[in-house]
Amino acid sequence: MADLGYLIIGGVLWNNIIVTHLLGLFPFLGEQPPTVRENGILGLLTTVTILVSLSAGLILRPFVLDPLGIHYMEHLVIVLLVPTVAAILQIAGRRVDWFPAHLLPRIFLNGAALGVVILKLESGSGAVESLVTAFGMGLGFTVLLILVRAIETRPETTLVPVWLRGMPLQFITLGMIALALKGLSGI
Amino acid sequence: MTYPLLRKSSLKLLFPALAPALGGAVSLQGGLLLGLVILGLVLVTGALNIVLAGAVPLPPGRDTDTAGTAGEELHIPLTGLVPRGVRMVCTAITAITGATLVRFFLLVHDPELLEAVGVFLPLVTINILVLRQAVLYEPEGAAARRGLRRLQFGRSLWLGFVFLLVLGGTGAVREVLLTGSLGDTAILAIDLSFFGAPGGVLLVIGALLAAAKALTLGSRGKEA
Repeated sequence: MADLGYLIIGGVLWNNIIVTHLLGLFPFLGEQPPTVRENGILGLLTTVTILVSLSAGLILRPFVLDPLGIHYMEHLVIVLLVPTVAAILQIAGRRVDWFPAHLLPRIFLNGAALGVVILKLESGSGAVESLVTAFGMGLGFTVLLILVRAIETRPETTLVPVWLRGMPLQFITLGMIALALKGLSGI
Repeated sequence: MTYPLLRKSSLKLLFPALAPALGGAVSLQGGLLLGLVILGLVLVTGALNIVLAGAVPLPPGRDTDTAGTAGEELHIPLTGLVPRGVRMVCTAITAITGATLVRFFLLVHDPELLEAVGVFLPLVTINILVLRQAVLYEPEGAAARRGLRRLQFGRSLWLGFVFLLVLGGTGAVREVLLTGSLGDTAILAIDLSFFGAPGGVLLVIGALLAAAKALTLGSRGKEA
């Protein structure tokens, strides 16, 4: 159990998908949701998409792809799985008032979902370990999204020069967080 | 027809397009490979979408009997095979098929490069420049064109080409920072490898963006 906790914390901190692989930068290079709450929801929906897609991939590989000898189609299956899961979330979300449907294209476009699923399926580790690490990575993505937006919306940022506001500040913040997280990798 | 490199609308597409490919550009070779794959997919998916698409939405006032679809005018029997509703899925399948073929090619000819681009090769499927081809008619007014002129999608190709240059440049800069050399040519005598690593490169990108923004604001100030 302690190992699983270590994997989750590792996924959030030193194995963070943005810091280690530069995946999931779409919200920063494109248009980040305006509020901290929406960033949190985007991160959590990405985590759910990762977990459901990875579970499906872990089932499909030994029971469908390998027996049929079509292992080379794994990437095609994953690429179709992730948007399908996002679309199912969208259909399910129509029943909930607070559900921000406009965030859904960003789930599969941001690369974190697809990247984590491919990375974990190719890592060859066990199903539970893969799912737990993927959960940690999803949480790590959520934490960074919230953190960067929260820093940017602080009133002190009005003191920042105009040429540093927006995307440059987001990237420098991300870089400094990455530097801090790199320091934790030896724990 | 010219497409300024730093036009705001182009940058709005280029920055998000960089997101899934940035991590794979760790060397000049890796960056150029990803850029070339994406440029190739932009061309292939764009042509496929135009040829295979079903009914094209016509501008108001156009006669539907004479306008036809792109495929009908080109006398292609496959016209209408891909309805509008599943064009995005078709584009994604075409893109991942292309990426898989490149993967097989690299597996045989350059396994080291394949290992370097690794997870980023299948991610070309979700590149916004490629997926955008599925909705190409609407933004670029292809529906209003006739015959072979409908196959024009110059802006997409231009963006793909600029993307190739940006990704190749990013790969070259990261290679120099990580290894101190570009190919066999030694460039840096000091170790700056942190700034080429995934964490440090974020700082470099932030600094470059800030410099570009400061220059733009400065030149606007002078003009005023």
